[in-house]
Amino acid sequence: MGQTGERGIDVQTQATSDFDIEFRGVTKRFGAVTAVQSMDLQVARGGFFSFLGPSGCGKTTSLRMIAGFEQPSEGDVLIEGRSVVGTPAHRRPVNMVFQHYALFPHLDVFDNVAYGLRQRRPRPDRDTIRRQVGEALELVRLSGFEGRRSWELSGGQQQRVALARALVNRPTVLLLDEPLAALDRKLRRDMQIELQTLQRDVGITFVLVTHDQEEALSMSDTICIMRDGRIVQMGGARELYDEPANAYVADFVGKSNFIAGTARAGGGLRDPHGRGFGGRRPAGGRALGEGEKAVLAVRPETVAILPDGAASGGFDVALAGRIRNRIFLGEHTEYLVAVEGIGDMLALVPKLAEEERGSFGEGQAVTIAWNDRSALVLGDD
Amino acid sequence: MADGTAIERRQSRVTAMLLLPTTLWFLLLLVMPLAVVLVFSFGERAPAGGYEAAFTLEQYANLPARLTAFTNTLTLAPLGTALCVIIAYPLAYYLAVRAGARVKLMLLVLVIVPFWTSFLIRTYAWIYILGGRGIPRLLDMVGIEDLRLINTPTAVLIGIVYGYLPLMVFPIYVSLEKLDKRLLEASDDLGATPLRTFLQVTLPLSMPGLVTGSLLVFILLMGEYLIPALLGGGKVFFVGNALVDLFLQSRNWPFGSAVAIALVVIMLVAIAAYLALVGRERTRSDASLI
Repeated sequence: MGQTGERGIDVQTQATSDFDIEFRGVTKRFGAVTAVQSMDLQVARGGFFSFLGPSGCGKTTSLRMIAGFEQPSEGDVLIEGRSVVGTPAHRRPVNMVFQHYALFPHLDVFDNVAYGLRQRRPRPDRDTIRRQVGEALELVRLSGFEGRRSWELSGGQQQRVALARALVNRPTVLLLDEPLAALDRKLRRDMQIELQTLQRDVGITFVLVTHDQEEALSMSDTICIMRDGRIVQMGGARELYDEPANAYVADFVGKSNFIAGTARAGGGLRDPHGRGFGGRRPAGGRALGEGEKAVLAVRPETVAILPDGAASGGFDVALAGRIRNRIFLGEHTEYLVAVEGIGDMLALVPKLAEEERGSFGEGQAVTIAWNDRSALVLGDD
Repeated sequence: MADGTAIERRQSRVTAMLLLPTTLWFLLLLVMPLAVVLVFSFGERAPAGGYEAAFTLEQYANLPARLTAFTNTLTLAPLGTALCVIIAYPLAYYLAVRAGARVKLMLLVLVIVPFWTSFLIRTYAWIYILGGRGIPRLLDMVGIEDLRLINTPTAVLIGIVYGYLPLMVFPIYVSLEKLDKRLLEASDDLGATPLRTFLQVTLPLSMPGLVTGSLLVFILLMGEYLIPALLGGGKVFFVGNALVDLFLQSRNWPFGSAVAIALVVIMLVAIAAYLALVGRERTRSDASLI
């Protein structure tokens, strides 16, 4: 599980494959616009896979090519090792949960969920349909809602009906297109947990599309970060967070402070003022040559704020700064610190640290500090 | 609190004033004439024509004398409506679902353009097209001889479809336009073939437009006068033509009134039956065919 990201491997599989979904050199063009650019991808069986990226990065197009709503302009899409190029959506063993659910308004909950079963030939008998629909509704905790119409349901309930309607068909892969985007924050958190639990219970491969990094990080085994129709990096949540391949990923996954400069041959970075910063290269990252444009990325939670003039307390880097802004967020406080020659840097100070070192007011002169091991030198691409 | 009730009272007064024209229109132009016609239908023809007060069912007993007009109306009006549905639905579907923005605009304009000239003139044009020097002559050239169109039920049907098609296209178009295209993708995704998607999603969701269009066309066709008069030549006549004849030619107002009342009653029964059928069909497909 989670063993993806092995790009460039020529998998000689026929009818059976370890992968539920494979893209081989897939390109999709809409007129002059290239939505997906020669993409290679493998989605392992039984995992929770996410496409993550801003709008227009090609993630939805990728999902729609799996569903069968779009056909690739070039390359091959495989489901369970079989090419499905040219196969219409209704003949593919995948089902989709649509962004705004797309529940049939003229049918009640039962008929919505039964819809897929009734398309089967030979058609299952009445009792089979009733039992399977009942099980699917139980799975999403909506038993007793059979007779309701979609407009009588809350957003979260509609979401669950959409899930049941797809899962009842026992698809090889369940596709989810921004499934939580229409829900409010609290409900979204609940549904994230619910989706994850559900995926483990049913053992079906889930492929999610989202622009919400928190959603992708919290639920997926493997996340595929996309930009401009290409894969930027693929890996687990922790890997992407701790070892981002470049500045784009470091910026997209979580928050980062960036210091622009050039790479140093011995490691680390030199900023335009000639100051040197220590930092490590991410595992699996591209090698950087001396003088190449690079950034130093420091996560805000690894940045400490010390009273001005205090001992640097064993930190590798200590810079003078002034508090520009302070936002209290409960479990921690977000400080924006103006640092000379760098600009504004963000620091997340947990409650505990604040209790020990005291809090700081706006305009106060402080020292901002971090350790070289928390800093990453990343290519600026 | 007092202010609140004052505002409420003023609002209800405004509402009443806004409703007044409609109410007056309804009473003066619909209820009153209908009441007059109803009273007339129980009367007798005055010797010089017109109406003479009486209470007799004689006019109603005499209705079979105009049976042909009723049978013509009751066959050609539903048939014309059905033809309009069959032709309008694919067109509306194409306009709403398939056509690109420019083609759509052009076709919609083409559907509307005929309304810019008088219906009478356009129907006169059809007399020429269907007449001896029109289509039959063209067919004659390719070897199909002696085809008569003008003054036949076919001519009347052609005129009906020509005249009433836009009234059918627009309601269906509107209901298909509102149809969420993602529902079609959802159906496709759930394993339905394109045909089944059409039958199970598109058609049920466009039923409101189809019902509206059908009622609109059917009701207007039941009272149709012009098309049978011009294209049916005195041979294919509707109840509407019979009414013109009775009121203007033979000046038999009471009998004309009875015919008119009979038409209204038949229409109401037909519409009620149609709506009941459509309603039952819908609830059955709703409760569904497990």
